[in-house]
Amino acid sequence: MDALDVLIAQSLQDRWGNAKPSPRVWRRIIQRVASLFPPISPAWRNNPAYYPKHPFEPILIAPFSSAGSLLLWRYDLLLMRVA
Amino acid sequence: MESQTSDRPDIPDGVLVARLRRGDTAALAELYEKYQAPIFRTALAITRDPGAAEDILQECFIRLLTHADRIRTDAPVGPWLYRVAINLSCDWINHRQRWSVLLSKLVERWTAPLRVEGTVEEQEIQEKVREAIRTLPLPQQVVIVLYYLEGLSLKEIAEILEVPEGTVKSRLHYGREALKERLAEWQPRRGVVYELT
Repeated sequence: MDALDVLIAQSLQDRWGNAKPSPRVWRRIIQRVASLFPPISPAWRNNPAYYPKHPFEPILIAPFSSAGSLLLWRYDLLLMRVA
Repeated sequence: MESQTSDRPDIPDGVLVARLRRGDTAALAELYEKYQAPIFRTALAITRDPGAAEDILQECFIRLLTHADRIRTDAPVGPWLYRVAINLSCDWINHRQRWSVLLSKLVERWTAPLRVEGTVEEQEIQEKVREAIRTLPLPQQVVIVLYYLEGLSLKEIAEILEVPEGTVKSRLHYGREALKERLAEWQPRRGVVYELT
């Protein structure tokens, strides 16, 4: 390395040699990953055992906490009627 | 290739890439920890824009995850990441509008950290060198950043850029010669003469 090499290396090293990204970059990566690869569907979505034997469309029932419990399902149904 | 030192045992990149293919985001975190600084530095030195460099860093690791099945597991992932970062940085430079160049230059000057080491004259010379590097053709700038900032060998740079080693050598030579010429033009005006061989 001669004087010019040293000068170029120093100029770059002094300015950017210790540069580090902010922690928010990793947080943004994690957010992007989560949006690209959503978590696997909850167990109730594809498991008929979680659905009550009722002619209702599953979509009406599934989002409620009552999946799997007839009693809670009736309670949710009541809430829906009130609403 | 440079990697950050850590107390943890160094898991080979190939193993981490194989885990990535199975959707293991912990492997992504390991690779990020290892390569974030050199990739960010490289993007920053080419774009000279911290925001753009962070966006590029983010994009590199998203692509690492989404392209994991196409990445070799028998070699370090560093060259691949450098290649993506350089391509994205060059795209960013090429698409940037002139007004934003001027704006970022101003912002860079306003936000540049105060330096306590070195004389004003040294700082001025270094700034002049960086300005001179910025005026070089992009392929020469890239080689200079990888060689002088990242400390990579000609062979490693050739692998990253997917060009023959002779091409890297030639870009470095012409870039260096152009810098020598530009700095020599500037020196007499400053009344300072440095022996640049």
